[in-house]
This record gives sequence, C-alpha cells and structure tokens, in this order.
Amino acid sequence: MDRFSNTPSTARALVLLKSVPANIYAMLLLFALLGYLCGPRFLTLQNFLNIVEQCAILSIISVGSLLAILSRGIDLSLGATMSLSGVVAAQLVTGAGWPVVPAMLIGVLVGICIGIFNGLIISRTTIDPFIITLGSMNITFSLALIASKGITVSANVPMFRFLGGEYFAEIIPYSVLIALLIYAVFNIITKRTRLGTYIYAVGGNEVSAALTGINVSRIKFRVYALSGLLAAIAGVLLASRLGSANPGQGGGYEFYGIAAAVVGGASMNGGRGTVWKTLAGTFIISTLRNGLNMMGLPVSLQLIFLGLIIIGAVTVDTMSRRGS
Amino acid sequence: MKNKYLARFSRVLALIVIVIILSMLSPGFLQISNLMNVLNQTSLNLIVACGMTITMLITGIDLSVGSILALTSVVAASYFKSGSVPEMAFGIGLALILGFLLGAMNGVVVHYLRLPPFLVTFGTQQIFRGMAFLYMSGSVLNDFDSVFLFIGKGKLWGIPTPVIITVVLIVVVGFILKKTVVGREIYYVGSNLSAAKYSGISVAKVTVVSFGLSGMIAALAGIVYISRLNAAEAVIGESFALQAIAAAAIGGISFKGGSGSIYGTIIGALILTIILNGMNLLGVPTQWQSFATGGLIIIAVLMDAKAVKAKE
Repeated sequence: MDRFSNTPSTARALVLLKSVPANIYAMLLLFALLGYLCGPRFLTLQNFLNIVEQCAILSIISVGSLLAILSRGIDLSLGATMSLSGVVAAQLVTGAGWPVVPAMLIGVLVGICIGIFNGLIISRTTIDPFIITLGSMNITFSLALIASKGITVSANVPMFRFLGGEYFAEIIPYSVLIALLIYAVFNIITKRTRLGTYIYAVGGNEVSAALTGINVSRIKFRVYALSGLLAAIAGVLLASRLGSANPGQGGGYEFYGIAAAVVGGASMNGGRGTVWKTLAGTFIISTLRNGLNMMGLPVSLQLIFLGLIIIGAVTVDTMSRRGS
Repeated sequence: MKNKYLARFSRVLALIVIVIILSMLSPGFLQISNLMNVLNQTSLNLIVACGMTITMLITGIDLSVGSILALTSVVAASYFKSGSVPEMAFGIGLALILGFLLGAMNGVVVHYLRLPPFLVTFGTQQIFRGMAFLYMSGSVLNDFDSVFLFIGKGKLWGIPTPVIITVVLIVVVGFILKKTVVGREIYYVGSNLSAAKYSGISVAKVTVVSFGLSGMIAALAGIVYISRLNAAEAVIGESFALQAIAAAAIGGISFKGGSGSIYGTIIGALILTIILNGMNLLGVPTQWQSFATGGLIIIAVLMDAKAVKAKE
C-alpha cells in the first residue's frame, strides 16, 4: 500500500513535491536566477564544472563542520588545521626533499593530531567546544606560521599538484572524486553505523544518550578526530591545487563550512542534518559566490549578499521546522 | 559562593604570578613606560571585550563587532577632519548611535526570528563589512585633526587617553551590569531564560539592549582605533571579535551565560596582553604569539572546569 492510493492527483503531486528537500528547490531557483542575471556564460558546462571544482575543498570541510554540529558542538580549528596540514606537506616536499606521498600523509597525520587534541579535551570536560577549538585554532595557526617560517612555501612539483590540479578523463578533477568518495563514506558512517546513530543521539539529547548506555565522551572524541582528519585532507588538497601553502590559506574555511552545513539544514542545536544536504548547502554557497563574481559585483555587494543568504537560509529553515 | 570568589581570585593570583615571573626574567618589564604600553595595548581589546561580555552573559556571542567597528568608524570619519569640536562630537555621537542600531539589529533578528546568535552575527559580519566597503569604495580617509588624534594617541597626566577611556567604560558597564535593572535582567536571562520569562522580564528588550550595547561599544573602539591609526578604511578590525572572545574566555566568562563579571574580562585581557608583551621583551619570535593566546584560553578554561568539578 502506498500513501498516495486514495488521494486526488493534485494532492499526490503536492506530496511528491514536498518530499524533495527544500534546499534542492533553493538550488534550482538560485541557478535560474543567476543564469538570468549573468547571462549565458553562467549556464555553460565549463562554468558548472568550475563551480564543482571550487566546491570540492569546501565540501570536505563542511562534512567536518557538520559532524561537530550534529553532536551539538562546533569546530573552529578546521581552517587553521587545513593551513597546517598543507604547510607541513609542502615544507616536507620542498624544504626536506621528501617524496610526495609520505609528505602528504604526514601532513594529514598532523591534522588528525589537532583533531585528537580537540577531542581529548572536549570529551573529558564540559567546556564548550567553541572555546576549546578557538584555543586550538590559535595554537594551530601558530604552528603553521612556525612550520612555514611565516612565508608561502612553494611546492610546484607535478606529483604534488596531481590531486588538486589534474583531471580524471580530462573532465572531472581528482579533487572532486575525492570529495565524492568522502561523501559516500560519511553518508554510510552517519546513516548505517553505530557511530553515526550515536552522534545523532548525543547531539539530540546528551543526557538521555548517556542514560541509554552510549559512551558520550568516546563519541565526542571520534567526532573531533574525524573532523580533524577531514580538515587535513582538505588542507593537503588545497595546497596541491595551488601548488603552494601559506599559513593563512585555510583561514575562514571553518566559518564557511559551518555556513554550508547550516544552509543545508543542519541545526546548531545538534542532532539534525545530513551529509548530502550539507553537500547541497556547500553547492549553494559556491554557486552563489561564483555567480556574484560573474555578475561583476564588487566585493562589497558580494559580502552583503552572502550574509543575507546565510541569515535567510537559516530563517527559512527554522520557520519551516516550526511550522511542521 | 566561596567557589566563585576562589575562581575569581585564582585569576588575579595567576596575573600576579605572571607579572612577578616576567619582572624577574626581563628587567624592562616593570618600567612605568612599559606598563603604560601594556595598558595602552590592552585598551582596544578590552573595550571590545566589554561588549562581548554583555552578549556572552545572555548566552549570546557577537562575531560582527569587527565589522560594526569598521562601518561606524568609516561613516563617522569625515567629521574628524575639521577642527571644530562640535562637529567632531557629532561624529562620535553618530558612530555610537549607529553602532547601537547595528547591534540592536543583531538582537532583533536573534530574538524575533529565534536564530542562533553565532549564525546571525556571522551573517551580519559579512553584511556590515560589505556596507563598509561600499561606503568607502576602496579609499582611505586619513590626516584627522590633531584634537581628534588626542583620543587615540594623547596622554592625560602621563596616562594614555585610550586607557582612561577604557577605565571609564569599565566603570559604566560595571555599573550597568551590577546596579541597574536591565543589568540584573541580563544576568537573569543568561542564567535561566524560562524563569526570567515567567517572572515577567522582557527577554526581547534584554536581548536587543545587550546586542545594542555590544555594537555601541564596538563603535567606541572604532573611534579610538582610527584615531590611533590616524586613518579609517573598510578593512580594519577583522580579528577583533575573536580576540575579544579570547579575553573574555580567559577571564572566566562562561559560554553558558549568566556567570562572570566585567572584572574577569579585565583580568583576562590583561593576562593576554602581558604574556604577549613579555614574549616580545624576551625576544620570543612573533610566530609563537598565537600559540600563547590559544594555550592561555585552553589552560584558563581547563582550570575553571577543574574548579567546577572540585565543587561537585
């Protein structure tokens, strides 16, 4: 028996329309609007691929932000972790003459360490994650400054630039494939594994989660370790794409990651949001930035629009939830 | 109650210990000129942190203070070029009122749309910054009148004017929080929102006033800052919000609202600047400064968490 059997066809269509997440509509609307405003240049395949490529790195960070938000926390150290991982990888290649692959792995490992550091403190105390990760953001930024000696480290080696700069079948960037892989993996983790279920439970109601026997501190630890890992991957990819790394290049990504997760419907109160909707959120933000750029708007107006969109998206989301 | 005093005292103690250690390590530290320098460096961060404290007391946060600072100061900057005092006073008043209105806007959105303050002020941070860019369109206003420069660079009885302004602000904010109705309401709303509602407190008013005050104080910081720089442009103050949050956090202002006082923030801001100043005097490379800031934040909150656990 399906739920449409006795409803008139218009109502049936309505139910179908409602089952599509709101941010998909937002995305289509955005595309139509920007396509109208920017002219035919915006709606080309090339530009679409551009957006997708720009989207890749932010989308990886967004998953990290989402995990922290799902557990009713926040991770402000992601941007600095990105910088540190990129700098370490680039410095090992250029400064120490390491082969590319181990250098990148060490870069990722360093980022995981930052995540573990956050996780250890957050899981063992009742301190707000905001303040812990604000602290580790400063520490990590400092470490990135020290590792890079405060300058841009160039790593213009073809091997190093491969992941961020080359294309699979000459059309799909490898960075996009990595991002998709990460989304597939984290979709399974959040939906199909015990860890995922527990993350939602902890974020939804920490006390009852603990009462049902969930080891809350272990879950929190894993959340921040994983978000550190994701930031590290994104950081190495960014360095690879640019062919260089500087201690400031990840700065700000932590906020855009949070914005993407929230535009994708994640609730700052925890326990609500999904990986794929976060991808939609990332896509909306990237599309917007691309479109505003193409329209030739000055930075000033771009910032204003971005701020309005973030507040608007959160408003619409909260309103629709309160309505239902 | 005993625990509360202990927590406050531990910070003062930490500050004293840091001062003693630094004065032993670096003979230049305790010189009057260096101490004045420390106070002068603290003043801007402390001004912004006073506003941040107010929003944090109602479990809020204000990421937009840096942008409010930039927008209000670029709008008012043109009044500071002429020598006429009334015109300058008008400029200052304009900046403060504008700051209050921008902050109040944050409060209105936070309260009436029931959105998380973090996201609202992150959004308005972009919007206000964009408006500042729009207003200036890439230009820089400089060469202010010498009377105006007194605010940021002058000295009264050997004390830098920004320090005096900060002290006056602290007294005013301390008075508002401790002795006025709205100040007490801020604490009630922060510590127990529903109890505050049921006892007839207008949460809307408290929220809007708190964010408004935060914005107004950011505007004040902007005036001091452009006077010190002798220039106003749209990009100023980008790191101010997080620095102020750091000072408040080191000073023991809780993210759960309702606890902590302006005196904690003072100690927090002082510890932060003194450590950075001491590192400078000892010749520690500047790359380590953020490390110290981050380490201080984490150590301070860990000490707090320990204190709470001990009480339980």
